[in-house]
Amino acid sequence: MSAIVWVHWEALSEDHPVFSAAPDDARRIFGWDADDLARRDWSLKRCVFVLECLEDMGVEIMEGRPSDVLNDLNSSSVFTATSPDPYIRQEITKIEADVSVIKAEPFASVPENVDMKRFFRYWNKAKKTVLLPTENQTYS
Amino acid sequence: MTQPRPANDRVHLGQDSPDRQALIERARHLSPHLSPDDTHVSPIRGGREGADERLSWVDPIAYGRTRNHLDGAVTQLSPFIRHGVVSLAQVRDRVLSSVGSASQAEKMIQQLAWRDYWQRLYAEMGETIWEDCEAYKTGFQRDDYADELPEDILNADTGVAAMDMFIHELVTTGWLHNHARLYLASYICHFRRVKWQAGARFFLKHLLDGDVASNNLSWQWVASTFANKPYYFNLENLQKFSGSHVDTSYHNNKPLAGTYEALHLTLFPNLDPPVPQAAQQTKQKKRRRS
Repeated sequence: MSAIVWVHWEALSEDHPVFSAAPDDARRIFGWDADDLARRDWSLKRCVFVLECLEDMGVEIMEGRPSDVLNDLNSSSVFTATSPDPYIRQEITKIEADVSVIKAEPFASVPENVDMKRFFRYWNKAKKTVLLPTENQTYS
Repeated sequence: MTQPRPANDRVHLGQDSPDRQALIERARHLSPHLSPDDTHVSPIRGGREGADERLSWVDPIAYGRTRNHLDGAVTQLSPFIRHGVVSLAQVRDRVLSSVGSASQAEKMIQQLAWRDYWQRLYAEMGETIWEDCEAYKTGFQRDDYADELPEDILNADTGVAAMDMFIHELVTTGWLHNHARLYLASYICHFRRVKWQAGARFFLKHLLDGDVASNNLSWQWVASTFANKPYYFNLENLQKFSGSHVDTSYHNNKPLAGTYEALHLTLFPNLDPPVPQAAQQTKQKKRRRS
């Protein structure tokens, strides 16, 4: 089966580079995991807001744990957006197909060794690039 | 636990709901954990159109001047940023294109950078983001704080008018001005002595932009478990930054009234008394002279 873009909570936009990285005919799938939502205990208004975003994008919404949904579809390759969310990171490890994890457009360059204990230590490094337009940014 | 279903038995919802009421019913059907008495839906609607509309409101100069005021020029872009409907880079570019020089955009871009900072930390911390980063610096131990939110906070019935209004706004609309979040978090944590984790869960349940990284670490900053001191405020400060729509009268907000020194003694009785502001200024002047 052709490629799939796994759309998750963190990247509800077709502008995300994950869509240009995937083949044009890739299916766009969102796994609606009721157990995960129950664990997060999101209120109705949160569920409505994300469903509005998903319907607006026109992605296919399938009930179930995303890794189960994607594995059942037997796709050869899955494209998805990066996320710091431990649930999403764990799901990525459970996908049997080849997974490409694509970053959002770069926002700021910060050296890896910067002390992140307080914001202004980060900001003193970030401000060298963060005030430049995205076309002048590089990933870090 | 919900049993996994075979692929051909999963519900496909690729098409638009005919109207908002149908979409609300669909969201409820997909989310069996929702209680029947959870009925509030936000006036902020998800989707690209709402994000574009708010991007057009971006006014970095007015934002820099008024963002701390509850009726200031904020954009309500945060739910769209949280879910990646617009990226930080897209907002930054929009901000830069609306000013003559990058320095005029700095305040607003710095606020965007906070999200980038929290996200980077979350990637390193994972689930430990739910643990205290450091000990409380309030003169109290972790066990001195209640595990759960009291009923009167959940019901917006604390008797402190401004806090009740913020809670009501949070629960009914899913959005709260950042400064109001800090006031409410400080009230819960320090005036009511509840663990920050209980407050963080409450915010994540309701805020459309609720994001574990920004939310938990901001709560920890207020609590002092990710800062050098606790964040607290008094009624005078609340009055300075609240618009006319918030009831900040003394009569309806008595627990918040008092000087910072007096509140410090009440809220943190185990700590040394703070140096009064006047004495601090004299000390600074002396230091400058020497």
